[in-house]
Amino acid sequence: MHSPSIQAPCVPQDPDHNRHLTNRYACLAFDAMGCRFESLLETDGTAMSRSHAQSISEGIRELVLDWHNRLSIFDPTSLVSQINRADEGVEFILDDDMFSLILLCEQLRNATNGAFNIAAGTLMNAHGFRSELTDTTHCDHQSLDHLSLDSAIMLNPQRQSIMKSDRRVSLDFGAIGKGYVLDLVREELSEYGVQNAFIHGGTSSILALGHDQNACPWSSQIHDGLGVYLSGFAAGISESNSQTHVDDDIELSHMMDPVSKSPASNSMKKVVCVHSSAAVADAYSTACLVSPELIHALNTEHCTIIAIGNSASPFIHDPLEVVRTLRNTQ
Amino acid sequence: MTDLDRRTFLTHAAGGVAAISLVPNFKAFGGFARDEQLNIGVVGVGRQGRSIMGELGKISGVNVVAVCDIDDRRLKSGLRRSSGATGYASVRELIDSGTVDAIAIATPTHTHREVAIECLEAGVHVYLECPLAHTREDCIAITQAARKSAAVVAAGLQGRSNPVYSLARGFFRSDSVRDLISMRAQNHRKTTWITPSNDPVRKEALNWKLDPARANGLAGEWGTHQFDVFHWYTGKYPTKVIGTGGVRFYEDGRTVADTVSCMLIYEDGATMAYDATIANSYGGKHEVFHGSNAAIKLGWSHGWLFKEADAPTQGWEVYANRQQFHNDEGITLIAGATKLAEQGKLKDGVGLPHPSVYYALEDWVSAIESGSTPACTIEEAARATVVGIAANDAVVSGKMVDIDLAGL
Repeated sequence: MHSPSIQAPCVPQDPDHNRHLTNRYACLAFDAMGCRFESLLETDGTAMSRSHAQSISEGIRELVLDWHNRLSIFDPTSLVSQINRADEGVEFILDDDMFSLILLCEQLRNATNGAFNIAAGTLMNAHGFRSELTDTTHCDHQSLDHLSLDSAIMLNPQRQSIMKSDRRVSLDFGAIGKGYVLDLVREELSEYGVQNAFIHGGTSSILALGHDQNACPWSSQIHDGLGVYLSGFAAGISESNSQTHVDDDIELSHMMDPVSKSPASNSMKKVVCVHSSAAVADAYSTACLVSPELIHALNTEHCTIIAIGNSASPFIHDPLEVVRTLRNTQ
Repeated sequence: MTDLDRRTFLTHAAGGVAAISLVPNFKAFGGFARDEQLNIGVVGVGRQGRSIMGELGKISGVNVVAVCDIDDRRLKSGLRRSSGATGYASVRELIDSGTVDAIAIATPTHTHREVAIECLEAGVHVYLECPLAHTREDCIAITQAARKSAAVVAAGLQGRSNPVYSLARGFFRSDSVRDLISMRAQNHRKTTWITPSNDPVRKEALNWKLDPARANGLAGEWGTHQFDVFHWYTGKYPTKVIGTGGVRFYEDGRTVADTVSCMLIYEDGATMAYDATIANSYGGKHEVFHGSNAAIKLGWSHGWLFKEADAPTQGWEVYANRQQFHNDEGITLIAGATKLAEQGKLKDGVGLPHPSVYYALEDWVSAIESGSTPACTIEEAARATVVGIAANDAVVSGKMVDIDLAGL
């Protein structure tokens, strides 16, 4: 794997960029999980290779839609929508894959001291987000005082089941679902021997394998003039103001702090996490945005956090010195 | 914290569990009402089979205990979609295990005859995905085997168990539409219809839908489901069909049309226009009944009634939920609307809470429990399938084809 880095593009932009991409890559875009997924899979340029890559892209779409059907709160028929509609104590037996994801979420909740929590959807409902999707009649933020989100769900490993501890609990996999499915996509691409590919879900979850058309690491613009260059890594990007809601004349961020049970403070504008796992990258970027004190703790040999402050001059947190600020280099 | 990714996590999952609240006695919460579990096996766990597994998992009292697929990779994938099911590489092994009361079949269309008859002869209850088969002869063979069986046999034409479709049919049959003028349906979805594999033999097996010898094209594979809606509503079947189609988009050597149009003609001169494509998704999948008083549009999870200005107004319409479609206003057809209106939750009823296949499976399970006839019988599925086969023949030949439902 190529270490994540931030640097200037190594080749000037090709004026026939789009045509070149279409010839060289099997491109696919589709809507799932409340956003647009796009994939680029390298081919050798022949019709046969493009057809094969296109069929692999189709497999990616099928995989993502399969998880959309389980995780998306934007689809009222999804499993998660059904769990969210259920009363407390209603048991849902989960399949191996789904239960593994929930266990991963629980481990990430522990690793982030509760800053990442799939039950944060409860807070979004309470603060008036997504009222079009959910019955929020019995849920307002004052009424959540006695509800601990750390014990919002109860799992039974023997029965491989989940149930909510309170009917107001609402699960939201928005901070991990896209990344999780990108990890599965990576496994699928590996089985097909695809080495060079770029896939993103809603631009906030990115998986970059191998290199781009110029044999360089894949580039992705993450902030004004600031690009992250990736090869063999995933990036999760969380923004504090990508969705807002006005409550009592106060503009609230959709990023909720599950510990304080209130909208996250807006000291961070954006957090990018680069990790080998897209699921972990997604979850950590959310956790660091909600709880900036985690940035130092989560920065490790295997994980790079790039945090951009919510002020006129953004700061880059770079303890490993693998990132460089090259704003406005073009 | 050390590096954590999905794979490494899974190897340490047991350790993670310790941090999670455990619930000792689920019965106290009354999650499952039934005393006895219905043990079900799923045969064929491609996309549709996995979808069936997911929906069966939502039905109270149902336990998916076995998964069967001749493709090893799909079998593994199917097992991951279960909770402790056993995997089998053949239907015979699955039946001989004696572990299942019922079997849901979602294998490729051309294999239905062999698999279904094996299951029916074993006496297990059967849910068979549709189209029923890829030839008229296979339809007849499956129908005869189902008639001989004492088991509950349901076919997967899902409109018949869909709550919105049942509600709309009530309006249709009660003269809200008045004189039926014409019918129209479409299924537009952007997809290649190709399943990837690096192994040419496996790829050939998985991509049966692109082989004219093993499948019936868009009109047969997709159209059958929609044709049945018209059969169910009108109680009539078309007698002739004309069609056209071709490869309009996917220049990859395929011969099965990616875009088709058909006109199904009824004895009384009524027509049903059908078009399907895998090159464009606009409008999705829906059916429309045009009548002199109103049109009914059905979109599987949703349904609407579009009234003519001169149609009589009924009292309930005052309280109805409405949606605007350009210049037309549709009255949303909501299953259980009266009860929801009493609770002040009418808007919550817009759109079904489950996908269509859930209701078909739930209907099958209920029929097994009660010993009743399922919403979609094998006979109806056979007739719809033969209409689909004829429609595909018309597309392929470019000629008018007679629809022969004698003996079905």
